[in-house]
Amino acid sequence: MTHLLSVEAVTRQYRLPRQALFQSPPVQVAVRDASFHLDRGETLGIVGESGSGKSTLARMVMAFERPDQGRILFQGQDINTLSGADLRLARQRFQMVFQDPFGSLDPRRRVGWSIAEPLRATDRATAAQIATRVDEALDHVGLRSRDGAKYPHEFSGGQRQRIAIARAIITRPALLVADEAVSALDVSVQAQILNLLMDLQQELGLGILFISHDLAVVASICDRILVMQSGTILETGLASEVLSNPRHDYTRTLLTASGM
Amino acid sequence: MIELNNLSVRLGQFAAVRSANLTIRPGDRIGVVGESGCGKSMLALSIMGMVPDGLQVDGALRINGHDMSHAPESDWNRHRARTMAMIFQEPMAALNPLRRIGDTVAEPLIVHERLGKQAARARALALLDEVGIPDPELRLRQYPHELSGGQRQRVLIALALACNPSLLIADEPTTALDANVALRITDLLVRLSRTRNMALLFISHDLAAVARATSDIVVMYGGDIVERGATHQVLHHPVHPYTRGLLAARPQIARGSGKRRRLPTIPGTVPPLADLPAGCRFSGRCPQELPHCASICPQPVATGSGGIVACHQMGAGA
Repeated sequence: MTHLLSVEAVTRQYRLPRQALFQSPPVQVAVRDASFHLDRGETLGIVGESGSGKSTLARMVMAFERPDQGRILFQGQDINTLSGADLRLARQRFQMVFQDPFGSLDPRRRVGWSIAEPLRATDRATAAQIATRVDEALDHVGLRSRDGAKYPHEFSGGQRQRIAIARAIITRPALLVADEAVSALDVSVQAQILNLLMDLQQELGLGILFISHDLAVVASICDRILVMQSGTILETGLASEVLSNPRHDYTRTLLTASGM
Repeated sequence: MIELNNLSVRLGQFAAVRSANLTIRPGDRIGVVGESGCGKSMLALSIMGMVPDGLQVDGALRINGHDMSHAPESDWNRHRARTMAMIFQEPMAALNPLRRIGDTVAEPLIVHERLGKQAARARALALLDEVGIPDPELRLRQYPHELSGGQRQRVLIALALACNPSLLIADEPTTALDANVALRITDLLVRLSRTRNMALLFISHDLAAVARATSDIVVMYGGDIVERGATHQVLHHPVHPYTRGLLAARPQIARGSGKRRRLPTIPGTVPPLADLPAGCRFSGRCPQELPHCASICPQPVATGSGGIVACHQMGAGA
């Protein structure tokens, strides 16, 4: 059976600045030999500290970066073999939500315009069709259609994150990558957004790749968990198993940090 | 040692902190929790005498018995080094990138303690050692960008400790740090508070960190102190509906379950200052609201367990 997403032995390294003229520059391995898969309707959590490679992994899944080794298959198709035009079309099926709800929306555009942008970029829809889809997306995230005519500064942080989610689901994706999507939010708003993601998953059958440094947040939303440190996957398993029976010291530290 | 009596911070007619009463004694470890925009940082700044221009402070603030309401800036400056010190969330922004760590840490010692250069340097070295920075000799000569986030926060703690303050205010000290680094910084603050008998005001929205660091908790909502009590009591038997909502909304690791469930939420968000209700600030979002909540301000009453709560439900004997 084909998984929604298969990451196969992926490695990504960056060249650091050259330190001496006649030596090759040192390399930093951001992700080392990572493999995992994700199915429809499933949430996979990736936890780890900053610099552990979780965002690099997300960027490779989104085809923002190419792996140096290994393959990333989306619905059985290696996304790095697609032509530019085909990749553009394929992007309708996988979308991303970022951490900063302030930085990810153009302050000078009405939010309805920003929400429609992925649609304009990938689809030949008429203005009327686009308007309908924007209303539909706003409705999905619990906002009203007249909110589309407002500007980002008129919304709170939680509402902006709803807008960012509306923008991500407007192309009706099968996979949603959420990179620290609730980290900048207050606890009560965080709970609202986590609930929204779970509802959307049920309604739309989304596969969600949920990246966070907060194990408690990951525990509350994910079916399976993958723990990363220094570019390596330390352990992976069902959320219940990893949480009740952590095999690595690092996972135990994360557990201590989020316990009361 | 430090006493706040009906202290309010106002912007025109709107109160960012409303009638706060709080006493801080030597060695106290008090956590201040609440969402952003609830007045936590403003409360801290008012204690430091650093409320931004344009805001007005009413009520009494006493430091060691002295009323600071009309104190000149020179008094504040003396207190700000010796009586109290503050560390902030973003350690990179708080350090001058063009100065060596050693010069930064030695500065308050030269200015306030009037130490010579050599003596100040020796003290700086001892301070870096006290806050657990490995190889302090080397660090003294380095610049902020050469240090990790956790080490920068340690440098700021050393800087804050330079003139032996009786109170350290830590405003979201661990928020920008990774989980394991945050744990070590939290533990360091607790250790320093114990060994120096120094009071700690620990402001954070991270309830796990507050639970670890403090013995008492103050819960703020919309500028009001809505609940106060012993940390374990407030976290395990919260009384105020806001505290209860906040704790319930927090994602938790239930051992062995790992089952996904919808989280209980507090409806809506913290309203902007101008839109806060005149009575109980939490009315409008409160699940147990009574008809008079929005108009009448609840008075703080004692809870059965030694804490204090401001809620009409409690006054009614509920």
